[in-house]
Amino acid sequence: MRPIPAAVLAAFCSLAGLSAAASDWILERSELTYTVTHPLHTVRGSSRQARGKGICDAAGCRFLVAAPVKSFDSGDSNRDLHMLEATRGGKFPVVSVRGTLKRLPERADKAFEAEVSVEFAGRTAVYPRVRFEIVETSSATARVHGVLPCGLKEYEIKPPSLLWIPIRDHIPVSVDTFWRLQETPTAAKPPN
Amino acid sequence: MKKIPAVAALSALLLQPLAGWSFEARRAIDLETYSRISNWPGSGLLLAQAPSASAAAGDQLSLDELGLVGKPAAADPALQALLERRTRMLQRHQRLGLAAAVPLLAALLTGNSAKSSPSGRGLHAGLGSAATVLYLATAYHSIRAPNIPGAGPKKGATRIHRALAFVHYPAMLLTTAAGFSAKRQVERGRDAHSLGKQHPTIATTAAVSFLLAMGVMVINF
Repeated sequence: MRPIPAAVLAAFCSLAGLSAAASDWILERSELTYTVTHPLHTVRGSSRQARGKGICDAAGCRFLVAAPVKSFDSGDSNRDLHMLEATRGGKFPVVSVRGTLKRLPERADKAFEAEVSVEFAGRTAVYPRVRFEIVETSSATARVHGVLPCGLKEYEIKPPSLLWIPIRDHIPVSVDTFWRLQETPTAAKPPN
Repeated sequence: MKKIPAVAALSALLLQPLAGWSFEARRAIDLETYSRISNWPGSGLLLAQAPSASAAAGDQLSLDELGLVGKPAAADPALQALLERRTRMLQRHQRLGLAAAVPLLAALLTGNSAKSSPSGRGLHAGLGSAATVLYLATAYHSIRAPNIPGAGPKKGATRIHRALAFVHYPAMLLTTAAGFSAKRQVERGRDAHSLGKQHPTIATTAAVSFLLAMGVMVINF
């Protein structure tokens, strides 16, 4: 039997090692908050019902966070229903945020940038460089916070108005997420 | 034990990083063989080295994986149509309410002139009637706006707005009745009495609660 060339063996071992670094992350808790600005009001609506999953491997990280549109609570039931209507929440009941990191954040990193695509109201908008801060981290958990610079035009949403004055187009969405490393990725189920 | 499929599956597991692993590729492996390998002593290490199913799926992160399936994630055009109808009706409610506020305020301001002259009384009655008609149209659009199933209880300013409606709605109806009564009594040369005498008080209550109901929808508390 011919011996396996050392270079092939080394390459194989390194690839195996990389795949060993693959890890699944589950969104344990989160708060997504949009801010609407009107000359007479500044309104914040939050959802804590988001679910999410992240996968990190040698190629980087990919994550998906999604929440029902109707789970956003601004403190006023009429406004929430109007938001649901304006954002076509009946036809598109889920808002989903997909992120991609080309490079794994180092343990010492306090922040990183990711390409984020948001699917909302039946449209998809891509934000190529969204900055996320790593608020706190441990070996198996990470709290990550970022703000998505969303705008109504990107989703073809007609700005709702009050007294004939429309709200501002810019609707920043704060994403505060707490992730936990999944211990047995293949066996675990998403949280209820 | 059949060694050939086992070796093939093991090779697939080990070579997947080179070949570009895909979920489909993994599924292509005979599941029986796969489970047999996973039962081998020490195979936990091998399986740990292989990427997880979800990692192997790569960009295939889906809403299904998050458990967002079924009714919460399903499009509901009927709900959207209901929401749009509700918004249309409430927008009309808002516009008519603003329109009603104009004759209502004017009627309040002309209240004193109604006591002194027939023309003043006519103007006040006309403004009051206009306010009543617009008010009833406003109320109709609010009452007839469809309720959204599963929307939960009223919250925030909407709750106060709705609570105030329980004050201004009966007050507006009473104001109209009291206004007609007072007008008839005065035109007969008598002083307003009983319900007619209460017309200014009831009208002021109706106007204040109505304007307050408008205000809570506009001003942040």
